[in-house]
Amino acid sequence: MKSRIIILVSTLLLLAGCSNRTDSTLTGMFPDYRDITVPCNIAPLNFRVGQARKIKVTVKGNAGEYEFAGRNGLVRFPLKKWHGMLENEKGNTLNVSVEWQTKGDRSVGNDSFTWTVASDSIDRYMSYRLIEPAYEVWSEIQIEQRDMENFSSVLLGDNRNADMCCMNCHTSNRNGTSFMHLRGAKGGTILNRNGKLVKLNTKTEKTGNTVYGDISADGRYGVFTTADITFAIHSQVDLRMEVYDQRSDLVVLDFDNLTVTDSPATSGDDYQETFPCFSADGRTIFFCRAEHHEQPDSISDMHYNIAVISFDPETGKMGDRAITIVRAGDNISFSHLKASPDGHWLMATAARYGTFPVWHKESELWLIDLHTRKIDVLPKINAYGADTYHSWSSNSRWVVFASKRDDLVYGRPYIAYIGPDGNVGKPFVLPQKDPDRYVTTLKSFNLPELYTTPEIYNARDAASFYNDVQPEQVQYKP
Amino acid sequence: MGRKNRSEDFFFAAGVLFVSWILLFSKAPYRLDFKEQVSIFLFGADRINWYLSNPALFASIAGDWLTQFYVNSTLAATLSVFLFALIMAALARFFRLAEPDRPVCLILSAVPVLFEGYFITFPNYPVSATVGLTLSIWSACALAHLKNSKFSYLIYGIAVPALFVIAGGHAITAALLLAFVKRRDGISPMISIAAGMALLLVLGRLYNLTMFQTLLWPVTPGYINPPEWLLILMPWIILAVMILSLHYHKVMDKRWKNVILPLLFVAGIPLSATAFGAEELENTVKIGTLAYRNEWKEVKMMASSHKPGFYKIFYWNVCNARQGHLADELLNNGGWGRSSDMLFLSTVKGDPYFSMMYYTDALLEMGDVSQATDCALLAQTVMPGYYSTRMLRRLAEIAVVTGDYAVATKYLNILIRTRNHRNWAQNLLDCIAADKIPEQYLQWRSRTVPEDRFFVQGDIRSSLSIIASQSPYNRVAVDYLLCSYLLDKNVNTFISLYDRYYLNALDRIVSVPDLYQEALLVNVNSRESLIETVEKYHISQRVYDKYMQLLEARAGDSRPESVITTEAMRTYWHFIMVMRYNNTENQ
Repeated sequence: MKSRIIILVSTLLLLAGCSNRTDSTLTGMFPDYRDITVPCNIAPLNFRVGQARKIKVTVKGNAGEYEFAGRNGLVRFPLKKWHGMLENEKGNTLNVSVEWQTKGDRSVGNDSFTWTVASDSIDRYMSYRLIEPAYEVWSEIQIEQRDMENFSSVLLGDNRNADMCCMNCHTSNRNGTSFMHLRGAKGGTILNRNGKLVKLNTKTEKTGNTVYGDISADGRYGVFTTADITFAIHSQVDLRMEVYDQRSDLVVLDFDNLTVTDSPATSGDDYQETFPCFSADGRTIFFCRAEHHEQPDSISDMHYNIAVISFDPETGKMGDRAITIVRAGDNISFSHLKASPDGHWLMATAARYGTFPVWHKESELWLIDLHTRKIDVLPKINAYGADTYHSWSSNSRWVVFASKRDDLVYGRPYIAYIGPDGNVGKPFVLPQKDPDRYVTTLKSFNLPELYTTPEIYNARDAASFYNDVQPEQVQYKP
Repeated sequence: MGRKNRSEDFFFAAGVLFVSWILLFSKAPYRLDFKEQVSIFLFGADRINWYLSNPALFASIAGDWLTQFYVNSTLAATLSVFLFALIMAALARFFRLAEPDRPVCLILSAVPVLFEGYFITFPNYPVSATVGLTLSIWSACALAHLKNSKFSYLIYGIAVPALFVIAGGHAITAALLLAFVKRRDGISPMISIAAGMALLLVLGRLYNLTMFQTLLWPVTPGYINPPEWLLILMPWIILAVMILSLHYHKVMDKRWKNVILPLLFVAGIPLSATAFGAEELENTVKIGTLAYRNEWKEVKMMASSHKPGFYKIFYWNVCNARQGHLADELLNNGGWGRSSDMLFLSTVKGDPYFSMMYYTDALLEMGDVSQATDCALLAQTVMPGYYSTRMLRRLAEIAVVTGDYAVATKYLNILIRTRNHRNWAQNLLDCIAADKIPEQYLQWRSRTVPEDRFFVQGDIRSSLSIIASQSPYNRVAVDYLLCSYLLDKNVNTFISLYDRYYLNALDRIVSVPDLYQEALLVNVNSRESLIETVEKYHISQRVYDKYMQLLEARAGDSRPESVITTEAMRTYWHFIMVMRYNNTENQ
């Protein structure tokens, strides 16, 4: 009798606790994978159809016809069959037809669209940071490395076992060198140089801590911003927060000799320099530069131009003259410069002002042809809500960027095709095993980076470096 | 053990559980309710990933599921007591397994329940921790049944880390109980169990947890939890109870009524006193919860109770500000202090997250939606489980206030998958779809500032100045600003701000509070300036008379100032002359 009562009570509680999903907002296809160009090695584009019960997906290509089924609103493509299809249909446009039966009234719906399978693959790995989009406080931060061909991932950093410290971007040059900044009392920059890990203290008597950076193609040098970063809050709530540099300069780190150098042309108080990146041949450094104004009061006057300075890979020194190559004007400020590995393009984020476009909803990606200096404002890629922090694939055919277009607060990694002639494809969000992950997460995916070889360390190694390894001091080289 | 003793044990256990229920229900209902506010049960892909990437998988899922029902205090107390009963039953069963041929003292199984009852009254102690303990003890019971063999030793070694995966740090409890029951079976089971415990610690590292986090999981250190040392000791306390029960069984069996009951009683007093005597914590949670439920009448009643507390005074002022009486009632609640203690809350990292949660109530009334968003995001971010239904609701509300419906929809789409907030979220989604925004949100929206200015996070006065300068008829913001300078005895700044925002502006549409009029007279030092002040600020006859009475009393009275001004209690003059603290320019 007792056991019956317990079972009855448990059942009642269970029934009361079960939540009947009423995804009123998930009507239609989520994510939107209609009419996109996809890499030939991308993980299955699993999607949901709101309120659907049974789903049938028919894909017609030049090499054959492929049928897939989904249920309970979710289409999960079998990995092997998916990759077989992409392999067979490289360079082809696929006609995709989706039919579904709705829950409840069992009415039928359908949709059709195309997928163009590019013959160009995307780099196999992507790293991104998972962080709450709170203004200035974080709790759990993780740096995750995702395999782009499937759904597996590993953690490169997890601040739970590193004093809950802040972890910055993981940056790779796709050639055996990568770095990740760990802040906090025992922090430092973890450098992976040809399979050997070291922890660096990049601050010297003459130069500050390194922040945003890029690695030269041969992996020997890193160019970084050193900045005093602070923030202020906008009284208008939709503008949220403004992060700005009170001062910022550039430095170059020689990873072989563990030295840091600067240049009078990228130091000093008259200008603020930030977001540097190497050109494909490693002989030029692109960076953003603005005349100094008192901030935050005059922050709307901070318009960063795109400038260049020469770099000598033999001596590891920057030149002594910086030249502005793209003027921002009064309503634009550039940031997040990234040169394509083929040397053809420079992609930048354009916001209205300032140096932290992540909270600027108007932020867009712009593509600059380095041969003609022509600028494409990429209307096919950009959307309202902040498109920022892009990264090129090693073959220069794909960019990944963090976009807040879906809900204006939480960033998601979007992938877009860039053709050799500059033609671009409609961006699509990084596929997930269950796309619901994007709906229920309270983390932003930010600072996405593409690279070809997996990182050699994981979160436990990073924690050991944080906790147990003394940083090697980088020396200032005049 | 005889039938009579068993029956006594049963009644004793029932008595302990009944008393626990009564105490939880009557003394800690809001602390139990709070658990629901700072957690979520959600079977979304991201949440499942979170469960899978942390230990205590089953305990966390079951605990979060049960926590949904903690929104009802009767159910909360019942479910807690149900878990306690399971713990007692498991321990009683284990006692019998450990010594089947000897009489044991089953009553001692109430001791861990006393501790667990104490733990559960802490707002952040997760129900999943109690589930984890229950699961661990029952698992230890099941494992104790295994006969000694190489296979069983292998199982012990595997079971302890496996239990960590499903139940969390209390797997250590199971390991200790197993070690105890197998203590006479040679070295092999001991080695196996020790290997299991070592594996558990390694596993914690694989989960990217420190050893401390491993032993406590799913409790997250650093929140309003029981003392961490006591949580770490819990498995050892259970082991000690076990030893005590068996070693002194004869004495206890005969005289349990005379020895054990008083012992339990003595042990229970400090725990119960701490748990159920934590009236301030209960009140802190209660007043915030009432505000969360929009039960403002009750909030005000509670805030006006005789024992002023930090958050009570804060809410007293929020309630009055809502009714336009902030200044009228500012000094009427006894708990006088600086503005930072009475009007504003600190919300920097490391401050109690109650402050971040509660402050949004005041900030929205002031029209400081920007800082309200900041606070709500902060509170959401620093929650132990990183999901708080209460803060999700607040974030959704703020997004509706600002018209960011895409953001609101994000939060509502999460809430719509929960048991308790589904209807609320659906209603708000419907309102957004029909563009019929609830009046309260429109009111808050009307107070937001049109122009953009910068201010430093947490600098409430800068932000209020921006709001007041752009929306001079936002009386709540102006009153908060003026009152903050009055409380800090900075009368000069008060007067200059009064001249800017009240004089020939707000004073034309609202009656000027006596408190302001009194403050405007503070700097008067001659008859001429008195007349000038009275005329300029239209000081009322009532205030003027009171002021003159005070002057006369001071002129002809040799008694101490504090005695004289006591006659002028509840006036600003009394506050400024009698209240003592540093740093005031007019003191």
